[in-house]
Amino acid sequence: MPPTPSNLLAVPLPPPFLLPRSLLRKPLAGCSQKRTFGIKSIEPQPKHNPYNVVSGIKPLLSSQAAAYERRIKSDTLPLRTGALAIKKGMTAIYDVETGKRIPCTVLQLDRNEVVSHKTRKQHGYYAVCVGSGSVNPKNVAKPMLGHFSVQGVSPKRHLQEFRVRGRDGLLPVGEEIRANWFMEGQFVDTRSNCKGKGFAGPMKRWGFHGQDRSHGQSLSHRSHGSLGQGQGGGSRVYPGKKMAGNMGGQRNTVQNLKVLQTDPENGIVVVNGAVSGPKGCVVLIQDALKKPWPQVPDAPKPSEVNAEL
Amino acid sequence: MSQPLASRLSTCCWRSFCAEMRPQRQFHRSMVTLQRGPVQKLDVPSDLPAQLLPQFPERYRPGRNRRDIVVHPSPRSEAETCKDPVGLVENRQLSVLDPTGARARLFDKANPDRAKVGDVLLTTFKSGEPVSGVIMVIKGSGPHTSVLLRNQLTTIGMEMSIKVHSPLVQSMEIAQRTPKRKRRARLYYLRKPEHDVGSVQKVVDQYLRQRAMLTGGKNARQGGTFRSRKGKK
Repeated sequence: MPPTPSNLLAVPLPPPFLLPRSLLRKPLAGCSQKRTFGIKSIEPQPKHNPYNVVSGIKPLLSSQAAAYERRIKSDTLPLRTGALAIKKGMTAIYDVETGKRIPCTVLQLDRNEVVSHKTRKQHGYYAVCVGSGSVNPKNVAKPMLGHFSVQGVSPKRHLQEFRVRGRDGLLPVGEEIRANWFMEGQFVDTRSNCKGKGFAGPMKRWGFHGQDRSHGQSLSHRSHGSLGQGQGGGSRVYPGKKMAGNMGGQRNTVQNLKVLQTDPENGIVVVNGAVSGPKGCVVLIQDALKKPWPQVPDAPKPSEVNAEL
Repeated sequence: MSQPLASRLSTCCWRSFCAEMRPQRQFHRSMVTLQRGPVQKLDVPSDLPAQLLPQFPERYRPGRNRRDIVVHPSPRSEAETCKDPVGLVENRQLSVLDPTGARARLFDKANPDRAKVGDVLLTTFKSGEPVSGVIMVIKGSGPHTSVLLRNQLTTIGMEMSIKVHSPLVQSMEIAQRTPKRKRRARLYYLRKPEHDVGSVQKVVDQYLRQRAMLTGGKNARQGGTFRSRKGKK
């Protein structure tokens, strides 16, 4: 029974610990109060700024947008897309004027077509997805078949993205890339998986000199020596110490290979020097990063994608 | 069935009565299978008011029908056109370096008059410098063919490996054929003093004299520049 005002005047309230909890609780502000049940994670709490709040401080550069800006500023993205090739083998070409014999690698492009695009708006960067070769549609997963069907290209054996700097580098989808995409005399970078060497010792893997044949050596002619200092060096093996282990079989980039010959009819691109990997491996060719961008006679057509992309 | 129906009802249970009435079934069918027939798909009515469309999943809205997967034809294959790109590049090289094919024929395995190991070969470079010697090895094939010539200059053995199709080579002539077919493909034993043929200068000089007589040209002394130059030193 609720106390009346007259009673309140007459009888003082008992001490708080004797009062019922409903009286002690703050009045509810209608039904809009969020019930948190004491769970801290959903209880609204004032957020504090974990960073140094000083006026005029530069914005943090760890964001995706900042990384993109840096990439554009450093000019390390090619203007145009690359192509997928198959390494066919090595041979040599004579320079008729100087008589020099130039070792070269023969690469072959096969049915390279632009399959799709990656755009800044949708994916955060610009890239051209290039497919090469052909594959029996029976062996292609249905989602991928649908993708090829929508894009209007045949099912491709190999698919690879090539990043480009801007929207101008997006070659229209379905456009075929022939060997004359690369001009004779220009420089390219090639990326491919190098030959796997398995578990290799430190001499083969890192070029260590090994140890003596004699002078009291036993069973340690090809092994590494010490792994580091004792007390002065922290009595531990530093991370990244060169040791025996698996060698090769990973992506390797060979930079600045000169294009010696191109033959769009047969898809042949002959580059100076060696390209990583065995014969028949897939090689990614793109304009060399560390050389001036090639002067393309007819600049790649601006993409047919919408302007707001 | 001779008994009347009423008497059967009185004597038997309902179950046997029903079994009698219905035709015998071949398989047992439960109530569940009876209820679950094939689901009949209904098309979305075409005359639906537009405000109801958002209630449908996207794939049921008009214009978002299932598209058939089309396998587009592949463009012309470069790999099918050219099965052996390395051979093609090499043949193109040969056609530039050796348009007549004479040099290739000189080292062609099918040619009985080819240069063989043990022959004395006289090579002239574009710079006019002649090099002669006994063929020790013929290595490589196609544009990579090379010969290893051995000679003696001022009683010192000299070996020189020459790329047959190098654009620096002006001419290659056989000065003397080996009298007897060599039984080795690589005459490395010529490096041993007891087998060394020594200088082939005399043979070359004689060949040049004969050639000059036949052609009626000047008896230009070739192949001696090395000796004279070395002698001056």
